[in-house]
Amino acid sequence: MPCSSDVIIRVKGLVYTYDSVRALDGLTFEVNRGEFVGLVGPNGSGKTTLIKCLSKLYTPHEGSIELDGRDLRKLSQLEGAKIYAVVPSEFTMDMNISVADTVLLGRYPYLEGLWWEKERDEEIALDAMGKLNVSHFGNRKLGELSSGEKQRVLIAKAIAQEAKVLLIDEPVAHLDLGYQMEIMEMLRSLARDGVTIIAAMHELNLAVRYCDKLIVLDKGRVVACGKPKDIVTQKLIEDVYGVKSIVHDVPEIGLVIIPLSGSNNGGVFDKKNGKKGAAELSKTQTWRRGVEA
Amino acid sequence: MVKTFSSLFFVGAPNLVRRKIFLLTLFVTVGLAILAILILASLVFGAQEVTLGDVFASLNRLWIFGRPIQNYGVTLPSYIDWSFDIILYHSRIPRTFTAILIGAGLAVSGAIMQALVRNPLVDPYISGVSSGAAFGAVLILLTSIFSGFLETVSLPLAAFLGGLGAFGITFIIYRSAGETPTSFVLGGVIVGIAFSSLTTFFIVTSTREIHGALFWLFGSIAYVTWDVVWILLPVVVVIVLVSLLYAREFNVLLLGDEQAAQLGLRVKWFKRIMLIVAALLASFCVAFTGIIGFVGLVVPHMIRLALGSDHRLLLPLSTIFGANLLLVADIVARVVMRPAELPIGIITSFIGVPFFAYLLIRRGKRYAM
Amino acid sequence: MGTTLRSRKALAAILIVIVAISVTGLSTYAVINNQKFTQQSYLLSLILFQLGQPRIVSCAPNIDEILCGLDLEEYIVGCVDHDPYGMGYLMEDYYLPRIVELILAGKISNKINWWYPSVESVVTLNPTIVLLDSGVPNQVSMYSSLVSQGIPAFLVPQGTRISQIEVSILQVGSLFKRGSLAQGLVDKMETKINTIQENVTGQPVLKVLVCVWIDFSQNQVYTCGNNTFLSEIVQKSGGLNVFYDNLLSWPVVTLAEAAAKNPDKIIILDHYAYLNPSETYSNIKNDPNLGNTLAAQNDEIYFVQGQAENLFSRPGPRVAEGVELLAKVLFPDLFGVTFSPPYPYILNTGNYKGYLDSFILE
Repeated sequence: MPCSSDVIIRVKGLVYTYDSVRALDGLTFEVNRGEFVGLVGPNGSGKTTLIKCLSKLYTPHEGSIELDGRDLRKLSQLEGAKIYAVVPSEFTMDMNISVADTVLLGRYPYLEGLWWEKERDEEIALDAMGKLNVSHFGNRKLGELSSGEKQRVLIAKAIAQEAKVLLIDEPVAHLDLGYQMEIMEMLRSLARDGVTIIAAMHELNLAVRYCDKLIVLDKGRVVACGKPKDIVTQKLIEDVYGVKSIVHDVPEIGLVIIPLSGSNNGGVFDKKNGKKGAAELSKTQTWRRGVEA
Repeated sequence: MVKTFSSLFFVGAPNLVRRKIFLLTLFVTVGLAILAILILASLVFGAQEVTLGDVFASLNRLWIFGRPIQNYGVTLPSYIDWSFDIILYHSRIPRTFTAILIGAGLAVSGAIMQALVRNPLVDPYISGVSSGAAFGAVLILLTSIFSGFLETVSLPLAAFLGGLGAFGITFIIYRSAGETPTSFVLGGVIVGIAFSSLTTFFIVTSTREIHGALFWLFGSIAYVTWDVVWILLPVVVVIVLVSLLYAREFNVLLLGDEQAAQLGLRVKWFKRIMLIVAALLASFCVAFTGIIGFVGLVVPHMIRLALGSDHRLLLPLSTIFGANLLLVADIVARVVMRPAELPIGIITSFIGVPFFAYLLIRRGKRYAM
Repeated sequence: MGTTLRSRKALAAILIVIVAISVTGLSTYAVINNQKFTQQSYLLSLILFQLGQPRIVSCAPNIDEILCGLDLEEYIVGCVDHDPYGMGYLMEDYYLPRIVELILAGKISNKINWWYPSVESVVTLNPTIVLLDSGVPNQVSMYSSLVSQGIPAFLVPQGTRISQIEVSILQVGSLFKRGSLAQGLVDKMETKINTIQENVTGQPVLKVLVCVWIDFSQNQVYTCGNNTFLSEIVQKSGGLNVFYDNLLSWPVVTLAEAAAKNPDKIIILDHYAYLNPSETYSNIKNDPNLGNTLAAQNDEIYFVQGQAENLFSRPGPRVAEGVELLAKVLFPDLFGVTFSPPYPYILNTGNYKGYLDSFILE
């Protein structure tokens, strides 16, 4: 049981309404320092809204958010910038900035002096670029990069911001398989270093595999919160996503979720057999090979 | 080599930054050198032909006496004819300074607008300032009594208020439509069209012949006096300084409104204030010299193409090179068809239109709103 | 770290305020100082001007004519360039003969551009008074530059009516202390116009189409409307400008619209375009609309060039001659003049004087 001084984010009864629709309907959860949290849920469940509330872009209509022991409402934007950093899902930035400049801009909340950055600022920025493996195109313009590379640059910027909490909206949406794993692993190691990460993502499998904690949202409510192994069940997935699935704990890898198509297939996946049939099937080698292929 | 050179001067500054400081120093020096040459050219070239020696002799006399010696219509023999002093003091020197101030002002205003509207293809008049100024001017020409001097004092004031008024309406539309860049540009277009139509209506149906008002809008530095210089000086200097002060904030804005907010910038307030600042500057310039196009559009863009979007380079260099561009245009305007004074707006268009077309063709695809 | 950011901004804000106040203070002081000097210099200039020999710079051709009418042409040192863009215009067509003489003798420098005047070109002439045309916006701007340099300048009002032209003449007259001469000039104008008006009363009113410009390829006719002295000339000479009631001063109409008015006489004013008269004439005759007008059918097409055209385009004393000339065109039998082929009838520098009984400016 983590003791309460480890809690870095405390959300209580958060409500946010858009045109009389309650996008967030009384959210309550806690996140501990250094946790890699996956925020999952179907479209419209409120993931992006929650990220925006956590980053002070939206002001919640009810409820409270505490970051690092301080009430978010009482923080100025500048103070907030030193505590949390946001990596967005869309690229709204000017495409003419160089990569190095983008990452350096992450140092904005800390800049002293009249105009130019100090040596330490540049060191931190270069370090962040190294971590994300984007140093070799430091001088190229953002517009010349692929979306995956852009994503990495933005994460580097967030790291340069020396934030305690990283709020990421769709970290792997634009990345190919290899990079997906690399990013998730990098985020996990960042979390080990003490950075708390909340990543809103669609890729359920990656989330359950890498995250320390999952927060599952549905229609603006927290449906489940806890370690993936503890909370992810077939029933949860069916309730939240409306999809039948097989949830399997693969040794040395972690949880694997295999979504099944609708109710048309007969046989083993027939409703009547249900869980039992699927579990039996998972034990067969041929079936496993099918998974790997 | 760059590193060793700059490391002589900038001990303790990091690499990326050092490179920028070097570029800034280099181009500021180059810009100022060009400016010095152009200032001299501006004093030498004009309707009346003089040599560089004449100019220096004249400047020397002006320095000693403080003012040119008036002839009062008496014709003096040529060896003590100092009538050029009058032209230098009352005509060429104010024109030179005005060109510098207006060029710098328009370029900075354009750079600010481009940063706020997130599109390099806008100019300082995008908020309808030009049409509003025209409307204000025409209103005064319509309604004022025919006393020459009063007209020339109230005209800039009316133009200034008209320009600011048009901006105000655009600003209101912008706020009501969600404070997005697109809403600002569209608001400006609507307001511009509205004021232009009103202006044309008044011109066409007036009993007084003020069709000439349209020509005022072509922009001219040909008739400026020292008073104009003194009035422009504080406004341009202060506004340019203010924008330089916030160069870092403009950089942050490059990341997009949301990202900038999350980095600690109070985006809405910053944009509002800077929009007002840019509009003030543009209105001021238009009020005194009419509409001079393309400087505000072309200069920041050229610098951005050459040196990137870092406003710590963009803003100071826009100031200097904006001044240079307008000085060149002014010299050309008075020399090309001497002694006729071509409107300076035509010259800047000649330079700006091909450049603008080139930009659009080569890079237009990149700039989505 | 937040405090450093804040204090940086505070320091900079203070600096800016200091700069703003000091620069504004400096500027205000300079402006006030300037105004004082300007007033002193201007007053001094005016005094000297009144006492001494004036050196007049005239920035419009109608002003030249007013000055001639006041016997001041000897004092003109600068006037407008008749051919600034090298189009081959003739001096005889533009300036009065006396002015041409003075220019050729080197007494008058005719290098000022009427529409885009340069302050330098005026100041170089070392004038004691500059007369400017209020109808030219750049000249209105130049007024303030000249005054702030301490050079006396006067904006001659725009002549949109003959009465206004007369007022301008009187104003210029009083400026040069030649009020009685000015009054005499105005009286001469009035007499001539009244005589003509008396002569034409009782005559049928003839419809006149005045073409300030005609472009067959663009299907455009530029004519004169309501508030112009040209329209008034037509009216005073016993004619009716077919577009007299058009709200615009210089409306642009199509050939068909012009033809629809069915004018009795068509007057083409060739304002230094050096159009080809016979070509214009045949174009009119061949035009499906204009060719059917009374004017075209009767070959009542008049082509006015050079000094004759100046009578209709310059708001000066010679508008009275314009009234007379047009009256003779409208009622040749009444006045005992004849116009003979070839068509169109041409009135130019060479022959217009033959149609006038007396001249306003000798």
